[in-house]
Amino acid sequence: MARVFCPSEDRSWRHVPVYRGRPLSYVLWNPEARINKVLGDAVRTLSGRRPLDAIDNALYLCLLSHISNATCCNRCEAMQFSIVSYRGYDPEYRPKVLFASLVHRV
Amino acid sequence: MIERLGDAHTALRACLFVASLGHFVYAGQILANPSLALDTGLLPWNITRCRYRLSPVRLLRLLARVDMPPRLLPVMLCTVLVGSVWLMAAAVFNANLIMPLTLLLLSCAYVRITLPYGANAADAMLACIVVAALFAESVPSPISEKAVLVFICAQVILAYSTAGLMKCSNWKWYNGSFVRELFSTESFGLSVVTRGFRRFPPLAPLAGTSIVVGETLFWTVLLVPLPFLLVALGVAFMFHWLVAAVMGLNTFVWSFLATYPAIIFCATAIHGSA
Repeated sequence: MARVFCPSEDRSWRHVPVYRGRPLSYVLWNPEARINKVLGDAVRTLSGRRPLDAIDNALYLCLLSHISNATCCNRCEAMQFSIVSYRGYDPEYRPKVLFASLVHRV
Repeated sequence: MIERLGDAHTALRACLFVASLGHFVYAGQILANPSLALDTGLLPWNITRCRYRLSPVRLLRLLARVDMPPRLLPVMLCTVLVGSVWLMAAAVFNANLIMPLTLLLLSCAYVRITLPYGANAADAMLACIVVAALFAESVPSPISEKAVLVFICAQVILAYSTAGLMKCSNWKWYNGSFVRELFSTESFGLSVVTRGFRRFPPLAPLAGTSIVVGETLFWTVLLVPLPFLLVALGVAFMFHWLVAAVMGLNTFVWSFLATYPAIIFCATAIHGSA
């Protein structure tokens, strides 16, 4: 999830989609595999850590760069992201916040 | 088929043929995301080099100073594709393997350095096979090919056994809750599998327990009679296809299948000497 501090937008948290639906052809050809692994590693590395302890981690910076590119516009002043666990195929599971970043100036 | 794979030369070439397929899929899938290492991508080189800068190993710290232009990554990935096709042809036509193996090793090393995150055990297994095969080709002796096949066989048995032993102390694998949790995520699951587990509750504990038992006791394939060995390897192959279909981990199919000729070679040697 991410929120941007922009004069033209509200500051509510927005879902940043990271996984696309997987067709069965992914058995042979799965270009998302490496991206999924990077994101999975980032979640494992950052979960439960305080943002100040994680800020020197390259995966933190990669996520920050990737999410700011995906969500920020030219007028944005700052942004923040969080990692929230959810199970897309289990409607009874309550989402949990695993990590929240610092607010970064863009 | 078993008799043919009892010959070290044929078994090693069979390993490399399948490994080259794995390298082709590995490089092609990264090439499908050409912006991965660019400034706008998920792994921009200007950021990922921090990993090397902060490393306690001096050699890795030196890598942070090297300017790896990310625009060169697609070129290197194409080199991996060329190297894998060359290796495939060389393995089939019994040609010299040193050049394609060296090309594959150097281009994969560049990719690995430029993209230091996102590699998995399948990539490591492919790298092991290529490095070991290059050693066997560089030291031409009757023993080197056999030694490399034993090494690859030991490597895959270690990979399965450690994965199984890591899981066997966790009860969530036996009662199926870990399998249910994993497959209900969008990253490693499918809705049809989650629905199947809900409809047939004993399926999840059965799947979890089978995975733990199968991985932990995989080494026993070396001891069973040879016809059963083929059945056991067939089951393991089907397991990897299932993992590819459900979890999307398709490179494991090729990297682990590439080691099966080495397992057949070692099992044949064990049964031949018994």
